Amino acid sequence: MSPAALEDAALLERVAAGDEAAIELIYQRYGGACFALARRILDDTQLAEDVVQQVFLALWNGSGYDPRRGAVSTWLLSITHHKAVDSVRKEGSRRKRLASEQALIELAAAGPAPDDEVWARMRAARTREALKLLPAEQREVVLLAYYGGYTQTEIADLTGLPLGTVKSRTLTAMRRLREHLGGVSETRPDEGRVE
Amino acid sequence: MSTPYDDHERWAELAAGHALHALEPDEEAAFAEHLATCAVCRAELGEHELVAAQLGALATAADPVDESAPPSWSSLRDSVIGNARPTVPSLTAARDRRRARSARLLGAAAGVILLTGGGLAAWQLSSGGSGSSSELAAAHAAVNRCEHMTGCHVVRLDDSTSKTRAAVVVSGDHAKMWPLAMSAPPSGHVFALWQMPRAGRPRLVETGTFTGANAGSNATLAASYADTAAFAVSLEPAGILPTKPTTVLAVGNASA
Repeated sequence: MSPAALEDAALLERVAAGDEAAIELIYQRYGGACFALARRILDDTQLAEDVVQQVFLALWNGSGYDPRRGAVSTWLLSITHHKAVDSVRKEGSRRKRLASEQALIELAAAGPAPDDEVWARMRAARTREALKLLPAEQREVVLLAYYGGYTQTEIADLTGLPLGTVKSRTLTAMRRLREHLGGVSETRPDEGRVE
Repeated sequence: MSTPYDDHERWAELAAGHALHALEPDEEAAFAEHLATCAVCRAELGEHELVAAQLGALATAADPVDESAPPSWSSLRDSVIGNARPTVPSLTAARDRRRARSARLLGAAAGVILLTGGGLAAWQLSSGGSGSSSELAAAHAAVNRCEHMTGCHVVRLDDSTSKTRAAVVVSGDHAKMWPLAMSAPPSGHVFALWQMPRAGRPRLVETGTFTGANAGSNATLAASYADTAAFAVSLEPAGILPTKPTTVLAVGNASA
């Protein structure tokens, strides 16, 4: 496990013991990333804040982070995504279609970066490149799901594709992305690979 | 549950959809059940979750839409931690404080309600009708569908007069509350759905009006259904994310 992951694991133990300083540290590390993701999906600052609040409330309540399932950051982003998607589905009128290639390229191309700017930009660049390598039809189904918050059934309705095609394209796209992103998943450039 | 797919690639497709949170509830339930017994799918899902996190991190790296900053910790703190101010950061003291709070909350909610069978506040509005007949039909259909689905659970929430006010449909790690006889909450209030774990404090699932067509979302649960003793609905002031149930109106035990 990388030093950063070990630090996070230690912080989580402290959170489980009711240490408020520890959850504040985790928030300072990852709160910005969670907020950015929620706001990107919801297109609403207040709703995004509500989602972040729920994510860290879940963390404080001890909601089952399993270190075998990956880094804390992965888990927090997954929970954030899940809650943001729940919210966007509830707030149907607010749903924003952020699924075009251009939108994602813009997403990674400019603007303010978080504290760890170089690392974040490197990851973003790799992710953007991996997305660009996908055939457009594969990219579409992944982005409609992830950033649009659509279920695969809804994507089939939206695109006119058979549901089975949506599912198979999604699987192929996710596997290809994994191949392209393999070396940068959860580690920083100066750390070993997280296993 | 028997495997609905002879071709394991279909399970792999569900793994990808699960990582993107893009499955329908029945697919989620089937996949969750399969996942518990399939190491191949757990590995596949782990890979997809890493990819999903990379997609999520993309939102962090740049945001051309606007530059609004994330909320400060101090602005979130009370909603997450509660109203008690921090004390000297002693781990022992914090642990003791947390245990005491857990015991207090359980005593106030799960303990009183579940063990004595009483303690529920009267339903706030006496004429508790739900929405239109079609909305009610949709709720009953959802409940009925779940009851015939392996791995899906229905928990009925009864008030102090044993009248069933709502049903919570739990599929995999998601729960959705369907109002069956819920009128609108009083002005300035919302309903809150709580998950009562077998050990630990009550966990907020979501807040909302839960009236008529406003069924709950398919919200993510903090603890598994197997670790859940009960669900409850409480009345809470609007605009504040509650950290514990204030006025518990209805409760239902989770069956095995």
